[in-house]
Amino acid sequence: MKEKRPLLTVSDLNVVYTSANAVVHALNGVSFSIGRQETLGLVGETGAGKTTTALSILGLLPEHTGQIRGGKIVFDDLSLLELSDVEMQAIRGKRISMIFQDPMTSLNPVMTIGEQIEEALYLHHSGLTADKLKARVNEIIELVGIGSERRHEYPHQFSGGMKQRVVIAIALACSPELLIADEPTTALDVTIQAQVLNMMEELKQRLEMSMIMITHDLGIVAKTCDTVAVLYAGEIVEFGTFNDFFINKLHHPYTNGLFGSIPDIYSEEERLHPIEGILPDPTDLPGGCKFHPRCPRVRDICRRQNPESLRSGSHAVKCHLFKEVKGYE
Amino acid sequence: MELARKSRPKARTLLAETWQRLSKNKAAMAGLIFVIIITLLALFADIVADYGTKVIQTHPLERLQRPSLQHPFGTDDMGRDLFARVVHGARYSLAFGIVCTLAAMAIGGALGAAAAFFGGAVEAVIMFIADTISCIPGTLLSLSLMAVLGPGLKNLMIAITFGGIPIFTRIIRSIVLGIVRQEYIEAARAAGVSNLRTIFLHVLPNAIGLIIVNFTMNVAGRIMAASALSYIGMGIQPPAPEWGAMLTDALKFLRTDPHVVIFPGMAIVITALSFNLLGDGLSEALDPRLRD
Amino acid sequence: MAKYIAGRILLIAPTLVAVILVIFFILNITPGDTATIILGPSATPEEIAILEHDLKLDRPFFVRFLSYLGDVLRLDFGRSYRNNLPVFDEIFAKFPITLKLALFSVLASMLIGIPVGVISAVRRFSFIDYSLTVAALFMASVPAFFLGLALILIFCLGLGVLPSSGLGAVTSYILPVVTLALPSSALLARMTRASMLETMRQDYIRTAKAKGAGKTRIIFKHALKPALLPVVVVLGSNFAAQLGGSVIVETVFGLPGLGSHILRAIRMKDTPVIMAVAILLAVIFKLVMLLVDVIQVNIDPRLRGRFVKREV
Repeated sequence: MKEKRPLLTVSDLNVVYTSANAVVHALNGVSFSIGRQETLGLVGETGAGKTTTALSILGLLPEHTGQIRGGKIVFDDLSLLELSDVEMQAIRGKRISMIFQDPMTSLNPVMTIGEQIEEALYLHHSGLTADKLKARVNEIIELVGIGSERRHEYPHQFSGGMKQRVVIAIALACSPELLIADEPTTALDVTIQAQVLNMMEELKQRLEMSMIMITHDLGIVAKTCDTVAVLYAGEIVEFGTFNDFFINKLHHPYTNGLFGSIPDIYSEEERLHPIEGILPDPTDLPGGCKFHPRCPRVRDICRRQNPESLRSGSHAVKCHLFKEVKGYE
Repeated sequence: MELARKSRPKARTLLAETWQRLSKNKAAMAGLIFVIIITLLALFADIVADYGTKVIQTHPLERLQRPSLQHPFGTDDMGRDLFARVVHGARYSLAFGIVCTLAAMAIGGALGAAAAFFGGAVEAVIMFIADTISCIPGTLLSLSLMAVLGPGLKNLMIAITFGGIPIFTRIIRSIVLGIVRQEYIEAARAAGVSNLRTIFLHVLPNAIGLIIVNFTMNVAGRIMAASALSYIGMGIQPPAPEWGAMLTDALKFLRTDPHVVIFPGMAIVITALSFNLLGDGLSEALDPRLRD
Repeated sequence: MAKYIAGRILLIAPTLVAVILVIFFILNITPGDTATIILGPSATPEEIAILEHDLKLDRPFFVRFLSYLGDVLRLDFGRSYRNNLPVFDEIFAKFPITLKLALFSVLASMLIGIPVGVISAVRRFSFIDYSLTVAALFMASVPAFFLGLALILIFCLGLGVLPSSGLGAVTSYILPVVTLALPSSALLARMTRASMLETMRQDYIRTAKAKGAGKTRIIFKHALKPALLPVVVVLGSNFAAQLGGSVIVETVFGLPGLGSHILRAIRMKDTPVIMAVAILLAVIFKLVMLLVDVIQVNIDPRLRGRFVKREV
């Protein structure tokens, strides 16, 4: 186990979205950490709060509606939530980068890709001369597998997979220490997905980056992640290393449900076992453990009390059931 | 069970929700209030001021008096009570605004719907004509029509209606095209909802919003166009108390008796502004994407 | 690009012919009036008949139209009924005044409208936004002639600063330009605001923020250009409206331009003049819209589809 100091620690993050009609409790005490050169998989269904978590780290929540109501985010000794916007600008794109889900709309249609990549460099290394900038841009474009002669082309001239490569190029231009990837391959064809993921893995190694891989796809998690955090209704209900997750068989009931929902080509089952019910309404969350209405092993205490995180070594689970498992406290 | 409950169409609540958002917009509410006031004045103009004595009959001895208790807006150069004339003028303006816009909507709408429905050559011809008409600046078009038709209320209404037709043709056409192709329509049909129900519960609420907004903004435009034409003498003729006509010789009086110019003019502005504020407020209230 | 323009000009031709037909139709369905107008109300039926024959007014509609079309292509717009002078010459002399008026006011409306729209969008929900919105709607509710009168009241009679009529020095253009520019700048401001708001919601703005770009950079380098696309279209149609609006404005301010010229022609039913001016305006409008298209293609590379290779 790497005993280094964690690169990023999120503690008890509480985020709401307010609109004229309702208050959406997006994140309710999210805590996790990620070390250097480590890949953390943030897993959850759509609407669980994965993107909100990512946006909160970078301070990109929508101005009028998104509010951070509590918690701390510490990045390499810097308390991000206390930084001014100008200070955050220095971090965005340079020390922490983010790539988003839909490559089709993530690029500015009226700027060439070369200009967009160059801007990332220019913003953080303005000392570079024009020539050096151009050279670096070419370097980066080639790094993601695009010919440098295409730098004068516009986004609409690229296919989906290529666009995502451009997005990645922009994000990695300044060699950030942490990359947050929000479902980077969900919008791509399956065959392209593999290519892009491999490329990301390679670049991650080369640049010695940490990565938060946000996804709902456990397959991707298995391929790329060192540690895993499962997000449900704005809370991390399970956290552990790759081993804790894929070798160990004891999990939060929700995680079990996720595994059970995956079709297994070797099994003889005729039906999938989806999890009963649907995600809770974030404007009207259930009391006690937020998963209790859907939990096949629900107990009385689950309805009344929200469970604390019970740990055993590197594995942490928020479930009352684990009180009875040896080693968890 | 829950899923089914949440997907039942909420046409009624859309109205309530729109009203709720609109009522928060002070400017729009002010516009709405004024529209109601002006409409009431127009409807009950006779009660407010007797037509015969105050509006038409000249009182040469009382010409060009400043505003006073007896004559809140003063008198014009023929001694007529300006307040009475302005109030009666509201009838003309509202008539132009509302009737002409409705007519333009009806004609333009029919043409647009036909274009969308039948497509092909019919659509090409209709859109071509609409484009051609919009090539000619509105003022000029109305003027030319008036030149051909001659002055008078009916002709002015026709001329003004004409200019508004291409806009509605385009709007209705794109709405109908949208109806036919929208994905959510396909989804509704796939779920087994019948065509008629689809149209009423899903399409109309959205389309109506667009139509209402355009309607209100157009009314303001028609009112201003009518007054402009009357101003240059090509519209309603004196002694009818149309606001634009009342300003025809205004230049003469600007220096000495500006009230003759200010009151009718402000009447036009306030009326048009009220409709515009209302229309703008409606468009913001109806825009689902502004829930940011 | 040249090919594109040439192609578009070719497309304009049929539309223009249609416009000429419509105008000709509206104004010439009753040829009888023409002769009466020229000869005056005391003409005898025989005199009218003779004149009609001379002017070829007794020929069928389409023949007249085609012959007119032929004349137009040779820039012969006939002679004015009022003074029998060639229509083209008079128009040629007055056109520059109206053109200057329209150009200056388009420029002015751009310089006022676009920045106001941007400010309104960037400071959404603030007091500035609300006041600018109301101000813009107010400007859009004032008919041009009343605005002109009000401005004359304030600046000529009140402050005595600017001339109220006639074509003297440059200053005599100021008030008319302002009168034309203000309402259209209001429209432009609303359009710019709406477009900016829409653009700022786009994902690529979020990407720019994630890169570490500051607010100013995002507004001017990332949002403004795409936002201006629909605004350019409005500018184009504004210009056409400006040309039409000059009829009123020139009347209020006593400017001897094309607008007052056509108004007089309309009052007197001087058909050749009316037709000529209407056609001229339609041609200008089409050319302006062509220019708008070219600018659009320039701004948005996605519109250049035909000339660049497909997605790779």
